[in-house]
Amino acid sequence: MISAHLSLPDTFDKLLTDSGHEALLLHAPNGAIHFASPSAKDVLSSDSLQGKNLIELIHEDDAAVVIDGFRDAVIRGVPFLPHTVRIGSRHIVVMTMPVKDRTGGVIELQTTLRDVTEFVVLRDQIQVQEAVSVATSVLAKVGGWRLDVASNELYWSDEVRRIHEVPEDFVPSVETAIGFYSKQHRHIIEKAVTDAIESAVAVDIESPLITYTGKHIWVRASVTPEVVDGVVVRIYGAFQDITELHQREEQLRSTVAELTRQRDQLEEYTYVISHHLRGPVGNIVSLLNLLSEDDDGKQAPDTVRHLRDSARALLDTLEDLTHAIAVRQEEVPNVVDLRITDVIDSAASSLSEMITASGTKISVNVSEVPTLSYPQEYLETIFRQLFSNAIRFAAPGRPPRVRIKSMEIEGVVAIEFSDNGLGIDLDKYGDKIFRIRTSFHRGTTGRGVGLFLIKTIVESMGGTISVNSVIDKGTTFRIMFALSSSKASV
Amino acid sequence: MERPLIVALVDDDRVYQFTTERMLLRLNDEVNFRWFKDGEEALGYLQDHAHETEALPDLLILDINMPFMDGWQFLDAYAAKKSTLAKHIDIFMISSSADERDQVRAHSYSDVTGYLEKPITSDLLRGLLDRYIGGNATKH
Repeated sequence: MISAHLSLPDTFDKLLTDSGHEALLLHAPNGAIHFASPSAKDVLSSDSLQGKNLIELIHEDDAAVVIDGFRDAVIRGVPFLPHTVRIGSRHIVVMTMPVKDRTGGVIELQTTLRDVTEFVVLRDQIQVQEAVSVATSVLAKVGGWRLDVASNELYWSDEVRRIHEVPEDFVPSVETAIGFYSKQHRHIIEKAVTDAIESAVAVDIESPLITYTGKHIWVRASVTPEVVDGVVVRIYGAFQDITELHQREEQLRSTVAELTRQRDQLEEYTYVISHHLRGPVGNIVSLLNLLSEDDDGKQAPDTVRHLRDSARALLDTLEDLTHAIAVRQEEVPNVVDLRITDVIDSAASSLSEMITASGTKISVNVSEVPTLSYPQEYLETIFRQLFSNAIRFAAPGRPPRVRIKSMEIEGVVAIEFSDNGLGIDLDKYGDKIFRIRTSFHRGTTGRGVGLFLIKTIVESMGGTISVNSVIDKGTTFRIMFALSSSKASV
Repeated sequence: MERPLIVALVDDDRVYQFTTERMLLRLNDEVNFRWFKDGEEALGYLQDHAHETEALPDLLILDINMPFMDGWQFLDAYAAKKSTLAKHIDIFMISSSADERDQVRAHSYSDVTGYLEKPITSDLLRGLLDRYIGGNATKH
C-alpha cells in the first residue's frame, strides 16, 4: 500500500549495520549464561551477565516462545530463527544457533542479540502515520496520482481507484483516465496534461466525472510537473471527490436565489400595499369627507361614481394579491405531460371573444418540443395572460399577431411568445414590468397583474421569465421552464 | 390678492385628482388648479409656457409612482429645464409609499420643498395654502 512509496529514513540503514548494538552470548539450554561478549552489557543494560539466566531477563510474555525455541535447538539441533523480544525497556532481536560437539550432540547454545528498539519505535510511528494518512484520505476522499512521462505509466493511489470505482485488476492509462471525464471537459484535462508535460504548467481543475459504474460525480484534480534538469520527467497531483461539496454549493446557491426571490416578493407586496391598497382607501376616505361636506349636493353624483371606482379598484387589487399569494402558498398542482398545442387551444378558447373581435392571428410552432411536464392550470394561465396582454397592448391599426415557439436551450424547455404590439420601453421600465399593477402604456387600463402572476407561477416552479421588446414593433417573452442548474446537478 | 395661486398636481390617479381639486376649491375658490396625469405631460406644459409667469404653477404636488415618467424622472428632467422657466416653482413630493427610502430620497433633491404622505387631507391642504396666500385666505 502506501508504505511502498515512502522512502525510509537514513537511520534505518545505520541501525541495521551498527555493530555496537549487537551482542553474543553462549549459554546452557535453560538459559544460564556461560559467556557474554563485551557489547552484551550495553545491549542488555546489565553489568555482570556471568551466571545470570537469559530467559529470566526476557519479558514474561515473550519468554515462552524463546524457551520453546531453545528446546527445539537442543533436541532437534535446528536454529531458533530471529525473533523480537522485550528485555527491560528495549526491543531485542534474538537468534539462537546450537553449538554441537564432534558427535553432533548439542552442548550449548549461541545467541546473537541485536537492539532494534529505535527501529521498532520508528516502525510503529510509520504504521500510525500510514493509518492516519489512509484514514484521512478516505475521509477527505482525496488520493494521489502520478504519470511517468518516459514510460507513460499512470499510477493511481487506492483512494483514486475508489473514487473512480474501478475493479481491482483495472490498470489505468492516460487515455482511459481522461475517458472518465464528461465529454465537454475532456479537452480541458487533455490540455492540462499537455501543458504540464510540455510547458511545466501547474493547474487545478474541477470537473464532472462519470465513474466506472456510471455514477455522476464532481472531482478536483491538481496537476504538478516535476522537473529534472529542465525536463518534465513526471507529473503528479492530488485527486479529490468534491461531489458533496459541489452539491452543497449548489444548494447554497439555490437557497440564496430562493431567499432573494422571497425578499423581492416581499418588497413587491409592500409596494402593492402602500400604492394600490393605501391609495384607493385614502381616496375613499377623502370622497366620503367630500360627500358629507357637500352642502348643496351638486357634486354628489361624481363623488359617488368615484367612490364606486375606488372600491372596485381596491377589490381588484385584493383579488390579484390573493391570486398571487395562492400560487405561492398552495400546493403545486399535479405535474402532467401536456401537449403544448392543447393548452394553447384551451387558453385561446377561453378568450375567443377577445381574439375574434381584435382579429388576432396566432401561429404556433412546437415541432422542436411538442410536450411539457407542467401543471395544466399553470400553463393555461400563463398563455391566457400572455394572449390577453398581446391583444390589450396591440398597436393601433395593426391586428395583433402572436407567434409561439417551443425549443430546448441547454437542456431546458423554453417557450417564446412574441407579439407585434406597442412594445415596452425596457430602458425605462426594465424589471418593473413584472411588478404587480404596473402600467406602462399611456391611456390603457392595464390591471398589470398578468405579468406578475406569470412570473410568480414560473418562479414557483423553478423557472425564469425574460423579456425583449422594441417599441412599436412588439414584445417577446421567453419562459425557461426550469433553472439550468437544477437540471445539471446530479 | 393680485392673481390666483396656481396649484399643479402631477398624478395618474383620477380619483385623487378629483378629491384634491374639490378640497382645494372648497378651501379657496380662487385657486387655479391644473392636473397632469404623468411627469411627461407636466414637463411639456412647463416647457410650452416657460416664459408665462401667469401660466406657470406656484406649487407643484408631484406623485412618485406614475407610469411613463415617474416623479424621480420628472425631477431629473426638471433640474435640467428649470433655468429656462420664468418662475420659481415649489415642488412637494407626495406618495402613499410606506417606504422611508422614498422620503429620504425626496429630500436629497434640492428642488424638492417638502414631502407629503397620501392620503391628502383638507388640513394638509389648508396648511399649504396658508403658507402661500397668507393667514385667513382659506374658508374655515
